[in-house]
Amino acid sequence: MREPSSFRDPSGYIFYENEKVYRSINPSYFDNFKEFINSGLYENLVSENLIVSHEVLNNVNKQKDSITLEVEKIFPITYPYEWCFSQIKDAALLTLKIQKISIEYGMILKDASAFNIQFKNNKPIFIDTLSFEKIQNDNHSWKAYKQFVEMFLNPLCLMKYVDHELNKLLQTYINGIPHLLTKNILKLKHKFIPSVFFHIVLPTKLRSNSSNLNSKKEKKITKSQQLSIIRQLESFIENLNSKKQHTEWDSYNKETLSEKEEYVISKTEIIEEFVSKKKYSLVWDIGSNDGHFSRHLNKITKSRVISMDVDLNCVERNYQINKSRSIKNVFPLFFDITNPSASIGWMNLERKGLYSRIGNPDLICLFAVMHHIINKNIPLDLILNFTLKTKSDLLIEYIPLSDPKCKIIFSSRGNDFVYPSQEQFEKIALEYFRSFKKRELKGSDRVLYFLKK
Amino acid sequence: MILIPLYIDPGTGMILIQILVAAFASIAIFFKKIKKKIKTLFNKK
Repeated sequence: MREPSSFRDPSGYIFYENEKVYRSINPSYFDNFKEFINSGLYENLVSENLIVSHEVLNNVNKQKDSITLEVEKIFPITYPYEWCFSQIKDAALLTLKIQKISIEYGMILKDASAFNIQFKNNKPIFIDTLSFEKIQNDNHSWKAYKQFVEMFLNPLCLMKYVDHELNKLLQTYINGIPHLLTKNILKLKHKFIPSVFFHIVLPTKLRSNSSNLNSKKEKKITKSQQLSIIRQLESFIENLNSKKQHTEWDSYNKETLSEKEEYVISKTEIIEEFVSKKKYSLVWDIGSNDGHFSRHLNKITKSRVISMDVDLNCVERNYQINKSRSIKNVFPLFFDITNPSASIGWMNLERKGLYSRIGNPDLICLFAVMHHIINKNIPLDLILNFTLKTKSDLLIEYIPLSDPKCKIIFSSRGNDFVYPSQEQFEKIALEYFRSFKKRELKGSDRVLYFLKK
Repeated sequence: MILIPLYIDPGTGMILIQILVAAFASIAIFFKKIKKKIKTLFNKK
């Protein structure tokens, strides 16, 4: 089956067969592909884990209609509008690093799309083997420079200087946030930051006089000029740190861990009791905050955990912790259960909906999140219906209306609002699941349920 | 309203900008190096 998003590049396309990923290369790209392999660039990038590895299935040197590669499979596939600031930053720095190495091998990146980057073991990895082309006539101009700025620099500047939620603009502008829009959103003081001015504001000024631009068409960019651009971009992006933005969940976990020590210890022990003898291959931890329990689950079940939260500060902290501890199999991701990323792009097939990219879990965890979903007016019945996405088990924390947090959330609700009692919860749960075990969480009125399909 | 320019080749149209950015980048890197040198000198003392 051909990958629906693989139509933009005339050099080839991706297809799937028996759960394996293949890439077909068209004759127009043969020369560049041979150069990519023979120059040693591919070997260099693979040895540093910067690009996905591949195996050539037919002889490169024999002229054929196409070359087929079997490509390393990456899981899960995620998109930039589901990444936190540091994930986008690391993806941008990887693109620049690859561009810098490629120039030394006489090649240049013809694409700089953020969709060409994925994460493997919490490190960014480049997935487009066909993005490299030979530098012609010593002209080191970077065709994808504008794309790089619109795909990476504009989102990072908007997230840094305006609001970290603005990465979501990449969902509307899947080819990158336009310069003009970025310029219009940024405040005046930010436009005077030299890097912002030269990379973002200046192009919008020069663009209004397109004839001026076209007359300079024959100009070349030297190697040292291109390397200066890359180094400057690298230095600017490296020093960009995520905006200090206060969110509801900022200190929640810290508070929870210190104030409610008994509750956390009890929860940790009960989780262990429920799942320690289990072997899961994939867990979804929904509402994971900074990933504290995701890492616990990963440790005791040896499973891959997709650690999702609706708060970008939490995703950021989760990513930073995993990075600093070299945790490979806990994957932090932005996820809004009430509005998960949909299928978008050409024919609504180009960028897939989230659920088709994050696998089939054999355990779903909903810790301390049920009341928040109910607060979004999603009935308990529908929440449990959603959890049927698990192949076997569900861990869900029941939070009674008497819980202090619930009292805050639902204090202004009218008389028509009915919060499910524990009995109702169990009754509905048994409509969807075969059986359950439950344990009370010490230091609270909450109950942890372990449900089996 | 945002007008999306339809008559500019996104590749070649950016060459002038890349030349200007390269000039800025060289100057920025040059000053950064001087700043670093001064800092190391200061630290030695």
